[in-house]
Amino acid sequence: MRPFDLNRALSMWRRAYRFNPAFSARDLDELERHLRDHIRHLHAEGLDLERAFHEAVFDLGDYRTADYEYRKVLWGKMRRLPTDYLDQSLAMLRSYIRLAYRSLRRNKTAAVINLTGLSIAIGVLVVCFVFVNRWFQVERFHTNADRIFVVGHTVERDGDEQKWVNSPLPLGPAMQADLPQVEQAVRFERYSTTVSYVRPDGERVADRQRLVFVDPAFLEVFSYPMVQGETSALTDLNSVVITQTFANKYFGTDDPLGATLDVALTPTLTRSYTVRGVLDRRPQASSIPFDVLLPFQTYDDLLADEADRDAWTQSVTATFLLLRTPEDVDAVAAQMDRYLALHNAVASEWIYTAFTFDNLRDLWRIVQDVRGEIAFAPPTQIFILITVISLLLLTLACFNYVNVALSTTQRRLIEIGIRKTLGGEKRHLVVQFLTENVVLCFLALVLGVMLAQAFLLPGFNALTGTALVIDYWGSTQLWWFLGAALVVVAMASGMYPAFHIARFEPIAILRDRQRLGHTSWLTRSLLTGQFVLAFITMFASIALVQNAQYQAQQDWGYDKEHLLMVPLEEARHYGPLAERLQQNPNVLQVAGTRHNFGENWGWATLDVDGIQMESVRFDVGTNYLAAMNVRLREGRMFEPDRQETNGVVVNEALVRARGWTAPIGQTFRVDGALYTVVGVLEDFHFFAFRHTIRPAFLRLIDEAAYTTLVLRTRPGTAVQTYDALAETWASFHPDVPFNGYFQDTVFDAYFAGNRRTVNVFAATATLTLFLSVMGLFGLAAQNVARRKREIGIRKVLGAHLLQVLGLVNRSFLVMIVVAFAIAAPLAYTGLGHLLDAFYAFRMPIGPDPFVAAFALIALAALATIATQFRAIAHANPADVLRAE
Amino acid sequence: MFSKPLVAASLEPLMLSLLSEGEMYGYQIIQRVKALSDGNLVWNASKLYPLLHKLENKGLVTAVWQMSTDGPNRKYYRLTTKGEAALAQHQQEWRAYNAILVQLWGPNLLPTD
Repeated sequence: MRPFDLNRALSMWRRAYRFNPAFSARDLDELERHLRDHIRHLHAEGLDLERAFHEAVFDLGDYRTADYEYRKVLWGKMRRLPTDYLDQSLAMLRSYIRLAYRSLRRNKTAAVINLTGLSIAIGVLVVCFVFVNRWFQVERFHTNADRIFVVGHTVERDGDEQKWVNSPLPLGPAMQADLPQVEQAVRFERYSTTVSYVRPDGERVADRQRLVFVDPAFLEVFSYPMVQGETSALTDLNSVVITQTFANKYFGTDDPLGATLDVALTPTLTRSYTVRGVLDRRPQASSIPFDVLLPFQTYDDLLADEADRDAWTQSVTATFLLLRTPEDVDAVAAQMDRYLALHNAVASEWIYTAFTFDNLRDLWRIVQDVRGEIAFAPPTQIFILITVISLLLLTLACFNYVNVALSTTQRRLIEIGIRKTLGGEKRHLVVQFLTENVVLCFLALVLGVMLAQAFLLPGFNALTGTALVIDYWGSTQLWWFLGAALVVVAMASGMYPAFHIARFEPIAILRDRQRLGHTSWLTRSLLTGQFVLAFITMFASIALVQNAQYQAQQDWGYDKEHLLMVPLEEARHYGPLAERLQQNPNVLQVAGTRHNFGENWGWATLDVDGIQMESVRFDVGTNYLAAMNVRLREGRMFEPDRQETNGVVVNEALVRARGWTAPIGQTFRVDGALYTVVGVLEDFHFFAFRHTIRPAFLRLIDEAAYTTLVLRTRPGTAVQTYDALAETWASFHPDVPFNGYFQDTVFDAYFAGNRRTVNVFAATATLTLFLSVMGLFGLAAQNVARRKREIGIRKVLGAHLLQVLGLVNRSFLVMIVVAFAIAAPLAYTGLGHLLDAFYAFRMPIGPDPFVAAFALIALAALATIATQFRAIAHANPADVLRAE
Repeated sequence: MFSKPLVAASLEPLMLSLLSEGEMYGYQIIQRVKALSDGNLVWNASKLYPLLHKLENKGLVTAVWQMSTDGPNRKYYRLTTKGEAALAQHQQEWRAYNAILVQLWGPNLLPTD
């Protein structure tokens, strides 16, 4: 016989209690301690261990009493203590999750439909979040972000107040000197020019770059991470600080620090700068683009007249102020009157009405409404559009969930009935169904994030030309968002079905009197609603595609074909180049210009009989209008042999704006100079079709100001001429690459933007249709499954399969027609507004998008319903009827 | 020795009184009661511990675990301020009750020390 082992005996004793939930592990510890104390006591009195053990266990009392007493305490505790209640709840939760898993497995079709729909919707939501959140985080990485303000000003133009973010050149230094609240003032001036670098192997890298002249404190006020070099780098007048992106492009793997960059400051002045620092501009977190930073002193040097360096008439792109505290902004704003006076005293053409202050973090929000080129951000409509789209898809997915949940309940009625009979309360059932839904939503969330990472975000980037990434660990916002999304989606989709299902009376269920699903008005209206949305998005994308085609075929108001443009390095090259090219038989016309339609223009404030108005200004060469083939309405164009002193040509928009009935001979002043209208041109498009045609006037300039050479080529010889031109160019500038292009490409960026809009809509329409069709599929499948008996009987009585299919699904077809009837008028008005919001020149909405959308969606719906054909065909009436 | 209803009624005041002497663990309490009653009152562990837990839940006593070298740790119970107040309440009641009995049975009931 084995000797008595106390520890073993105790663990045997403990085993009897271990799985009794009334005893916690700590309770058992305490009891065991008691036993041990008692045993030791008895052992000390002379009993052997084994007898002592049995005696002690006997004294402890019997199992049932202990169980009863402990249980009483436990129940008492459950009423009071949330922590222990949590234990119990967790056990329940485990059971719910197990049930959820089983029910999902049992109902695979429904699970797949819900999972796919919800995960796509959540994936889109994640993309939306990443897109929107990027902008809400913009510029926040600067340590001083809350204290950095940009100074702007307002002016009154055409009776409206305009806001500009540029400011007078001397303002920054003056404020820093005068106002104690201003810790630092940093001027910021944009400049775009060619920057070149000669690699050690002799190869020359050159490209146009976004240059910025900044005061040296820029690097200290802002917190761009320095990859190399110090924040004091710009104090040296010959130093340059570049961005990481620029460094990668120009230097590759070479060390950029200490390298020499050649900057073409003007056509005749190129200066060398030494790279003293490389910074990470954090393009994902910033709205202020630049490639190269140069000391502001250089800009001062560029100003021709030394007096301009502190002239209030000169302006810089932006002045940033670093204030001592964010609240100082009011105090600073209150002291601006003296600067207003200083500026307005010398700039009578451009009277400031006030200075404005905007925090750095808000810059992206205001850039759409202010003029200036400091920061760039997508227009507000895009944010609204993308948010609406993602919420729309989410709604659709939730509709699917509700519909499928309601229609599958039929199968679970018995389960519900039995649960209720066995004492399951309504709230338990609600919790059970909601848990099932949370489990499903959680799976969908995981899948959705994976989808977003793998397909949706790359797709979105490709469609819209962005470079967004999901930053999982960089911030907690994403996780908060996902958590909130889980709760909201689970509640939005699960609440109604859960309460609806939990409401049934067991007696009705078990007596088979409860019927639901196929008659539910909710199911019907949700499905109809889905198809309404599918129709609307489909209309919209078809209409946008058509509109894009319509715009591509629009007349630009001049002959854009066969026009070859050559940007000139220097104006003095125009003469010899033009002379050489005129000898080419394929060249019909040669002209020079400074501004070119669709590409660049100037602005001018016209003074017409004392009334100020804004107008676009084109500075052109003599032959430009003839070469462009602009149509003349009245008067004359510029003539080569006439010495034009103050004659200008205007467009019809300007004539309309002024209400001139006899425009020829009318006069206006610009900056004091008097101009006389000699000709009126038919309106032509110089902005793309998004904007109306603004009033514009064209004036003649000297050959010395030409920046572009214009060639009209003989039709069909474009390529030959281009090549010939490139050769001619090479003989003039062996170093500079030939940059000629055709005029019909100047709106390419606009059309590309258009295509992106169309793409976003088309993707939305596809996803919407997909989700709706999935919902329809789910309902149709459930419907067939539920009506097996009816189908069986109909088949026995000799009904044709197609007939059965039609009969069973008639209600769905009705819903689609109803959806179309609701969607069509909504879409018609909505589309008009949408197109108006996007485009000043848009196509009239015809019947085509409606016909096309209806055909497409009806076809998709029919195909979906037809998938049930197999289920019906394979249903053996004998089986169905016998099963009953 | 003692009738069941009496034991049940005196359980809580007796327990609180014991713990007012200082920190104790379960086995110790049983031994102490046994000693006080000359072995006439022996508490059953399977009732004692649930009672202690009940008092703990009510907030009248609090417990600390102390490390033990052999076997499980030992759980010591101690009176809380709320427990002291409850004990005072009990004492007041029992004294009043005792006064009634003394009037009826004579002062012999009082302890003879």
